[in-house]
Amino acid sequence: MNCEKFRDIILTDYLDGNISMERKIEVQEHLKQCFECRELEAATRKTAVEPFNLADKVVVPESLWQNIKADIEQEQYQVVGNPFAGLLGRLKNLIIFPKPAFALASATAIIIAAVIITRFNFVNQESAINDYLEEQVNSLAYLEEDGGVYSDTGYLDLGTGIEEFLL
Amino acid sequence: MQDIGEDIIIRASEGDVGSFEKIYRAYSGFVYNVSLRIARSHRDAEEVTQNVFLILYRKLKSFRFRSSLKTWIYRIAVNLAINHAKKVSKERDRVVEYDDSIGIEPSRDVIGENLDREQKEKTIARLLGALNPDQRACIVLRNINGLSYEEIAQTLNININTVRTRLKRARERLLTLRREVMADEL
Repeated sequence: MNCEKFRDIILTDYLDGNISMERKIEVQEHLKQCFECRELEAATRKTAVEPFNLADKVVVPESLWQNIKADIEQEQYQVVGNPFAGLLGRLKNLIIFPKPAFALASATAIIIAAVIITRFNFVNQESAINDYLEEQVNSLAYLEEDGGVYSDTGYLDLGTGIEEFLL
Repeated sequence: MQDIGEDIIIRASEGDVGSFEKIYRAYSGFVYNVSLRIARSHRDAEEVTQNVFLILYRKLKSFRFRSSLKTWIYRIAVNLAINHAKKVSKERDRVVEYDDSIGIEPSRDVIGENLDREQKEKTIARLLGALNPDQRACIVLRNINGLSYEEIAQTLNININTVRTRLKRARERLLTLRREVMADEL
């Protein structure tokens, strides 16, 4: 194994203890012989590992729970006080909305169809097609590119990319 | 972080505030601290923490016990903190505010220790501030929260080799920062 490979291991698995005993011994033998790798290991440990090991735990302000509790109780009050609250949400759950990927595919098909129609002059109503396309794009404007969700607190990206909807 | 029984989770999902408070007490420490380290200010950490638990309250009914509640909360907290940090990433020179009104454990009223603690926190803040949010999250989860590579990969929903790559690049960045600081001092 050359220095470049040892370097990668030193910067990650070796310093984090995420390494087999056999590989650890191999690295330690290399460190005995290689001044640069020895310097790298010492500098990385001192600069990028040890300072974080000493991080203190910060106490959570009690006011935070009071704010959350107030929000929760407010939501409960709204639901209890209004029998129709949440009805729209429940109705939405009963209706299947297209997933973003499906809607994106639909939009693509619409555009391709429009191009074919105008190119082959099947229907000589270009302005009508443009209006239709604009209407479809606007109706799809609610979709997010990266599969996030909307909540009352705003847009929340839970790290679900569009590719996950295609899997 | 204490374990929460299934009965408490079910009662909380049915709207029992007392049960939900038990969940909050069990996990708020982790959520707040990881948010603070990733989002880099107490104000942002409070906002992220509040959003995490409001989402949790609303989504708890859909929790199917396929993974542990702790893992689920980890994922929500870290991802929200990363997204929040990315939105404010233009403010690169922000330093974690050391606020005496927010205690740091363990607390002893010794002036020398408090100064050391303040300096240590500023150093950590400066180091984390040099990283992008994705790298920062990996360093925080690994070096401060002690998660394994597998746990980090599950929390961030990324490949384990991506964890390695981000840790490597983060540490290379910190080494570069160290060389720049030493060069400035000469």
